[in-house]
Amino acid sequence: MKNVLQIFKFFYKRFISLGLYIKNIPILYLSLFSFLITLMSTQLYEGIEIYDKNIKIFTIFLLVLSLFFILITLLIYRNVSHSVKEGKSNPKVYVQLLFLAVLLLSRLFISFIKDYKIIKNIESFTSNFKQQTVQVLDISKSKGDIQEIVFEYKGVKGVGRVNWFENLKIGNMCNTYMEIEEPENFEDFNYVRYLKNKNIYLRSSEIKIESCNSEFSIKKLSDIFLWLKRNLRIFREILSKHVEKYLPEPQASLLIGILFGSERAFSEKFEQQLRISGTTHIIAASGYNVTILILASNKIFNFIKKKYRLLISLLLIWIYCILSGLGASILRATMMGTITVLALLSGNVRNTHLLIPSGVFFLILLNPRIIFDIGFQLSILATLGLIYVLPSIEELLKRIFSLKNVPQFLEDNFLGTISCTLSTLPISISIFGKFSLLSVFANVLVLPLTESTMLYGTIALVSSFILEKFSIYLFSIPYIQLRIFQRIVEFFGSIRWGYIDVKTGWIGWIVGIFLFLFCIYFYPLDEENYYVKRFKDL
Amino acid sequence: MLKDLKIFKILLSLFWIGLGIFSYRANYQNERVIFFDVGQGDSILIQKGDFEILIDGGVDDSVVYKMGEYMKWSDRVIDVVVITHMHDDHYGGIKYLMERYEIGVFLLSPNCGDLCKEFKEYEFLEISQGMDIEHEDIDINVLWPRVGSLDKNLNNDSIVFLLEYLDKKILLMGDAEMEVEEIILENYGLDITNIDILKAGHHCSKTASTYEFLKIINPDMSICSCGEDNRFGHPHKETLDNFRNLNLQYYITWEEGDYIVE
Repeated sequence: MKNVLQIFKFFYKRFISLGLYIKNIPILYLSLFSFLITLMSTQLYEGIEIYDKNIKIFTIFLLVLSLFFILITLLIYRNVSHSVKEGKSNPKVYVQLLFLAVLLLSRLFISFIKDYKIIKNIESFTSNFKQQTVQVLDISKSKGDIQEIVFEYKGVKGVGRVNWFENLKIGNMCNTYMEIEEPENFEDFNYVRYLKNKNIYLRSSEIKIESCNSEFSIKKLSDIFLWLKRNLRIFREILSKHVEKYLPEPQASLLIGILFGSERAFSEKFEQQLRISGTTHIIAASGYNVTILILASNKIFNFIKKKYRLLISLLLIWIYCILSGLGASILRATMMGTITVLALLSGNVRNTHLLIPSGVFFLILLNPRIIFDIGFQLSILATLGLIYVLPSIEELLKRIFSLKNVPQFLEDNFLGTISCTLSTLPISISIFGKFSLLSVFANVLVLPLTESTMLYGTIALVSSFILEKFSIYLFSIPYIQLRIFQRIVEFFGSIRWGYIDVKTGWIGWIVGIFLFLFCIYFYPLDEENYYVKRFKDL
Repeated sequence: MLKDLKIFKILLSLFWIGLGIFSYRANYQNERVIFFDVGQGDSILIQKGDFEILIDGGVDDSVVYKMGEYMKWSDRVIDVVVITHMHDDHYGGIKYLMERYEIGVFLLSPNCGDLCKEFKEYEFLEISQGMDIEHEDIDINVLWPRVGSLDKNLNNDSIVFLLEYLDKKILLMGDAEMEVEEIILENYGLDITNIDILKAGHHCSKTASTYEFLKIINPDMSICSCGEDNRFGHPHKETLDNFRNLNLQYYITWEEGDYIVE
């Protein structure tokens, strides 16, 4: 009994110190606040939108939102002015906070008004089968016999399917024959929201292209971005074609996925095995590639000053991001990477704790709907796992085996993966209803291999442009590595009990709460965490 | 410690390079015929070392993955591609293959006309009844079609041939239906008795593989190349009944996957 009481006391103390910690750092406040307000207001907005598209209700909603903001600001003002009087904090902080809050409010306003305008007039955008002129904004050639495009019609974005062999380029104005409709939800998937998160409001199941104007001229500011995307895609296609020329499937698609994170198609069976073994993230552009790039560039350039080294890695991750086509997920990862590098540049170790909150706040400002994006949620959780769960696990191990330090290779290859898997469990259980038991083992085996494949693959690909005849020999190294990769995925992917169905979503929440308590209990507050340690000796 | 790490890294790179060279130079002695499971469609690969004959390519890109699985990785040339007739469940996948592999020569039906003009832009050969194609111990006798269409049914323009390879007689019917079966029996009755493996015509539809035909050719194994829950209902019950009544074994690709003859 006494013991239980002590544990409670301990948790309570840790809670309080956590609260104080957050209070001392305004950005934590702000990001928590921005997350909650975006979540609440969007939910509320969607509620009234389904109820009625009435302009009066919409105006009242906006008014209530602003009132709420004012209330919160006043509350913070009272708090801050109190501590300013006592000389504890700087009045400048208040001004900064106010500025950011206004920025957030206006961003939310803009997104709601824009959305309302489209939803209100959605009927004017839909039509039966007829001739339409649309602009191609994005193309993904992932599935066998179709390519999926994002198009713009009268200023509104839509998705549609086009024949695989249609030679399209981003930015093309195309005369098409198509039916445009409103997207509808699937039985167990909120498709409308999923598309809305990407700013997409229309859908067309089959687009017949009649002719396309392949010339592209920059008329407005947003065209520059489109132009960049267009040419990058062309460049990436050339590189992919080269890989496809030298490697068979699935090795070609694996290499292209690992190098540029392009979405690729595999045979149905292999795709399922990738999913079951929990290795899909490796072949998608993600935070993982960005982390590898930062670490590798620092290793390669370790003869120059740290400051310049970090700047080089900053440049590299942006080049990578641009090369992989400026997709939403890689853009997000690169932003997080950038904030990491900037924190390291500033030299303040404590800043790592601020990475996620400032990243979250920044990304919400860019697109408030991002918080509903599952990819975003997963990557945030994975990063949280590396910063908080990993040190906690290490602390636990140290206590159990009374170690001074956890061996580096264990940390690099095993514990990191475990932490990421654990910390993403709440979402993967409550949303997908499934989780992969074996993903830790599959990842532990595959990840070191992937790093090496990135290197040899790049060498082979570059050489294939210079020494055409010789490069087949160079491709043999990434080939054999990817063959091993394939075997590992096939092995772990074909174990039946590897994929566990969890029907009850609340188990995810229980796991989440458990992890939270686990971290509060074990996190070594005064020690440096994984991220810092990995980057410190650069 | 640091030195050890460097040595380890050098050894690791050497290991990868060695393994790479090994994979490139590894001898590849494969003599086999594979009936691919490519969904609703046909695709059959005849392999001897790094010489390949591909008969049809299924409807979608599945054949690309199959070729990746069975061909030697550094071999980027498919020597011969036969397109039995111009239905997309037979030539659809070939277009995906052409984006990745070099193709030696196309063998086409003489009656395909404009339908196959996109393949006629490459090296091609029209093959018809009576022709004989040989490569080492692979022997192909073309039994059908003759020049000039039989009827309006494109399926009856299918290239049909008897393959003799690996000491086995393999009869590949394409999509040919009972009208063609009758003519073939008339012309080649004796040559096509006691067949080892039959690729049953038209994905085991009831319009092909008649009782009489099966009774005469008496195959040890018949293969139905069709996809799960396809909209045509292949393989038809009538055809499967024919197999059962004659006590013949049959193999359905979507149920059991690729069928390999070695």
